Amino acid sequence: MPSFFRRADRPSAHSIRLMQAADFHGSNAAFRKFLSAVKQHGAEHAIVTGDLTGKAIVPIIRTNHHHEGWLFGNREVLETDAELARFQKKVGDCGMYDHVCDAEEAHSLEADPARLHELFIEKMNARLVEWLDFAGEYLEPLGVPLWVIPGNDDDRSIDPILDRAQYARNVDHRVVELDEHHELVSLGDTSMTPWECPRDYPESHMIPTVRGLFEQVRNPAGAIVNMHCPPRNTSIDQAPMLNERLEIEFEGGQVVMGSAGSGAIRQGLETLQPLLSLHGHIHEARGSSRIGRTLCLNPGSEYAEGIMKAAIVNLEPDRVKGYMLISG
Amino acid sequence: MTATAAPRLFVRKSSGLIRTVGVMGAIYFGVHCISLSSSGILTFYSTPSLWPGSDLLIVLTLSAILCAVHGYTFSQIGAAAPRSGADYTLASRTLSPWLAFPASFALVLFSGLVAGSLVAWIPTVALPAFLRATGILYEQTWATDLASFCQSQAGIVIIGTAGVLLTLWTLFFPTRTVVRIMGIGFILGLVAWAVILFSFVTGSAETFQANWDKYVPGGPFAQVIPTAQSLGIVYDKSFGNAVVAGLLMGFWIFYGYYIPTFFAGEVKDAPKTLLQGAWGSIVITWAIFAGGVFLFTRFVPQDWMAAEGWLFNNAGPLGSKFQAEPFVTFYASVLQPNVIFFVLMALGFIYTLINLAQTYFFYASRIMFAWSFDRVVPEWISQVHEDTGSPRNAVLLIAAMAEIGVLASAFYSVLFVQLNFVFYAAITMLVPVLAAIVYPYRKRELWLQGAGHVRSTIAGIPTMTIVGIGTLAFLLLLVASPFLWPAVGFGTQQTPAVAIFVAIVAAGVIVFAAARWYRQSREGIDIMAAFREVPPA
Repeated sequence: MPSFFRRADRPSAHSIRLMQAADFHGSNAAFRKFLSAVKQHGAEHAIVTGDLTGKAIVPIIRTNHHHEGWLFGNREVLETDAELARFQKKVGDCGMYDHVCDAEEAHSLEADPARLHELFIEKMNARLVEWLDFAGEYLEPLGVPLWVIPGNDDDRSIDPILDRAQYARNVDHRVVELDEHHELVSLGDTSMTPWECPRDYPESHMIPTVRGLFEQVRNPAGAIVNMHCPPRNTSIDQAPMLNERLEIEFEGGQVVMGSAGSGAIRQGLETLQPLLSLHGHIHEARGSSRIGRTLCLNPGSEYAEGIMKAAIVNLEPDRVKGYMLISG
Repeated sequence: MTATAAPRLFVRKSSGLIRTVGVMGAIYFGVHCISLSSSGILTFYSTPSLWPGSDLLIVLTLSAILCAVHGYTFSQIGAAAPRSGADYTLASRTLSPWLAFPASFALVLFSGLVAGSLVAWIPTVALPAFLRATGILYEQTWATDLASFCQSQAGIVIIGTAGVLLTLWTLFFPTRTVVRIMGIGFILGLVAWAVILFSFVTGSAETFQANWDKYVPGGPFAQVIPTAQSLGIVYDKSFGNAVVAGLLMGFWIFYGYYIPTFFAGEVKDAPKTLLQGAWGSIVITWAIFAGGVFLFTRFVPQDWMAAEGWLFNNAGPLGSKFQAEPFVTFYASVLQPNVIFFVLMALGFIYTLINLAQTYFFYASRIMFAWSFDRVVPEWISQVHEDTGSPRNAVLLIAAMAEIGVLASAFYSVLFVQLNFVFYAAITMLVPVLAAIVYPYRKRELWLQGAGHVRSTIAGIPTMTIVGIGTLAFLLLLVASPFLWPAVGFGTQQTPAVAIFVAIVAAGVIVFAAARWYRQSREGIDIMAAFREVPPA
């Protein structure tokens, strides 16, 4: 192989390298792979663009002789502690939380939404604390800062946890400086979805919020937007359209796709014309799009399969030198 | 209270929890991709003419079974990598991008070519069958003359180019409009087949023979078999002949059942849905085609169908002026010479041929997206139009390839392009199928986390591996077939056909190498990062 193929995978002396990902949704495997990728690819900044917490709890039912649980429609009987631990790891890697209990408790949780919600809060917050502690231990020796925001699926209860983190910095609704050339403008709020999630807002809220943040930017030419919701009418906001029963719409043998991004964010990007805009939210809309000079990226997500998806971006003071979407 | 009755999962209110596509939706998906028009023509014309003497019902049944095996493997590939260009994505991560990209590159180029050859069915088959029926049944000589023009080289180029441009134009509309256009085609295709089956149910040997002789005086019914025999047709009625025909032709007849694999990433229960879509669509189209064959051969022998098709391919080149019209729509028109019926059939077949080309454009453009995400091709290829969401640049590239397919159909033949596509498609599929076979071993963690039938085993061996080996054997046979049976493949064009393939694969390797060099030297990015395993911290 010619030597030019062996050139180091590094940005030049005038560049910085970012690693960005979103929508881990509680997947231990995806989060830990992200941290590993930050090190592997020599990123100088790690950015997590929201939706940190999982969506489901798998009850592991304790019986007299064993434990058993269901994962992806398969019943698994766990005879030994080692099998139980393996199952719990699998559940965590897929972004779910496990809860060991007897059948009676499982039934009572099912019948009591308030108690179930409390259990969710407990599980989500515990995993997030674990992640943030581990990220600090892992990234601090590398000198790589971790910038984090919540996403629309993240309950408000995680905000104090993000704020209290020893190493990671919660930059939601803030403009911070990464270096002398690049400011990071972050927002976890999202335009409305059919599920009315904790941080879903109408455009009437999004417009002044985005405008207010963009007004704080001093150097748009080097600014990096970090917003969970992608801009409207781009290739990175295309999601399957749903009917009123939340079923995917089909026409002509095809899934009907439509825009699920924010008009306010698009409008803001058109006006501000920052250097780069990083997003998540629409897992299947992995890709890139351009709004004027602004490169918009959505690395996508396959957290349920334990797959990490992320974007590597090499930045010069006023241009994106190169980027790459990775998965692993 | 038993433990098994306890809840299996607690879910909180959050985004993305959508219900899965139903079985009917998945089947609808697959039937549309198979195409009721071109595959109907292949069943009644190409298969009997290329394999005279083979029993069509055995051929169709065997084909359906083999395609079901292949469909199983591709549903697993789609379920293991549920995203755009699943075959390329799985193979590049499991084997090597140096293998996966050239294979995918070749498949997309050949898909573009075959989309053009499908459009070329319009001037060569669908339109002439309609015009000739009009001319013959209503004694309109202009219609017969126009039918002859359609089948000329100039006619194929002009009408085929117009078809490619029409397909391209429709794909510039928003996706929602495009899928509505395709939805209408699905209905029209079913209506056309309802007319055909009605004609066959109500027909009789006497009506068919009498009408045939009346409307096709240049090729009387009773003279079809003797003329074909005198010109050299050889019937092989052995079971082996039917088996070989089933092995080879079925892939083309049912081709398309697995295409949803490439764009079913949004479906939440992909393993189940893709399998049901593939198998369900094979069963339904098998039922329609086999039902048609069964009904038609109650009063027309299969040997006659073979001779009619054979004469259509060979009479002219052998210097005979014997008239042959081996198209299922024409047979139905002869049985029921009703203007409304054949307008419905013509409309259905022409419209669905455009739909079929649209499907090829769609899936090829989605594979291009996967390349673009990996930065192997320029970003502009995956850009979509701001207002319509249409991937205009990608479909423009595919349209250019389709135009080459139209030209190849005009200057060689539609069948030459399509039969070679079976070879090209099969050889490029070897790479993702090989990846599927080794996936449970090379990507153990991901395989274990896979959903549904992806991680199923038989006697401890992953089903993906076992069925993948069966699929690999099937594909190897398809790859070998043009060399073993040149009449159904390369014909006399073996060297150029192989040279074209080698050149395109080599071009794929060069494109990948050039992309890697460019990204490294100009952007400081190694695209191999996209394919590397990332262990958890």
